[in-house]
Amino acid sequence: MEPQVQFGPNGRSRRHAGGPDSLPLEPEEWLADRPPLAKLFNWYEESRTGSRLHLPTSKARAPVLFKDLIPISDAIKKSRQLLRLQLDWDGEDSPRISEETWRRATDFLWNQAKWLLEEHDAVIDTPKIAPGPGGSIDIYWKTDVAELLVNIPVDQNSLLSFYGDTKAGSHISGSMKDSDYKRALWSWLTEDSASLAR
Amino acid sequence: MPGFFKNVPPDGGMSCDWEQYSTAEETRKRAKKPSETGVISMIAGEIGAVPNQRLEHEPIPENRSHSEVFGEKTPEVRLKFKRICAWVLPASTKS
Repeated sequence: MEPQVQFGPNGRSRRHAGGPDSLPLEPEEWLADRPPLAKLFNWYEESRTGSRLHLPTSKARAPVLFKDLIPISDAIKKSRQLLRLQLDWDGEDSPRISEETWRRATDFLWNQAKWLLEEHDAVIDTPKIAPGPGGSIDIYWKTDVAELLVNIPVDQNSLLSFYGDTKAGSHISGSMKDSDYKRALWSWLTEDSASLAR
Repeated sequence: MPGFFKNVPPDGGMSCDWEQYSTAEETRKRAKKPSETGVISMIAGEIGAVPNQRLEHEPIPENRSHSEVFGEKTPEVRLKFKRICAWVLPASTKS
């Protein structure tokens, strides 16, 4: 079984593999000593799997991930309030937003953010997560140079659709699978169109 | 947010009022929940410049100003509508 990372006093991590040399941990120590950063970061992963923690196994990488993905994790946490919207919440007969749609939207955002950080050492700006038309969800970014809107449809079999453009006048649009990882999509938010052609 | 812009019903158009026949206050009063509804404005000529959008005046018995913006409300369309709209009466936010 893959050893789980636990956090000890002062934020140090240690592995508890259950062998004779492992540190004896009392149950109350398992989670209580997690440093504040880890607690914040872990909200999303914990919420998806009950109370288990899924932390990066690379000790060197973990602190970077914790720090950089906290705003995304917070935005996802805040967006859960979309599930409280009632039928006709906008007075225009809009349906409720389903758990499935919210899950798909937040999985997409989280996976893209994690991928970009791990593969390209870049951090996605924190977007707004808001109701879209007909029970869909919009994920919306606005930076000094560009805007990008990704719509997560209600139909789980439909592709995500997106559109973005820059003040320089170029644009990007189309549809994509949840698992499509496109660096250009995120470059869009911080760079001008010239950089996308490279 | 771009989510404001949608067709109701989905295969219909986006309802709006022509200011020649309605004030912003009158528009708000026609909403299901006026106290939670804001009013934004757009210029007709700018709506026509957004891809695949067609504005038509469609008066109904109870509202002479009633108009519809037809055309699919894609992310591109909604983002562009967001840019050309302006608040006339802000919604009183409900927490």
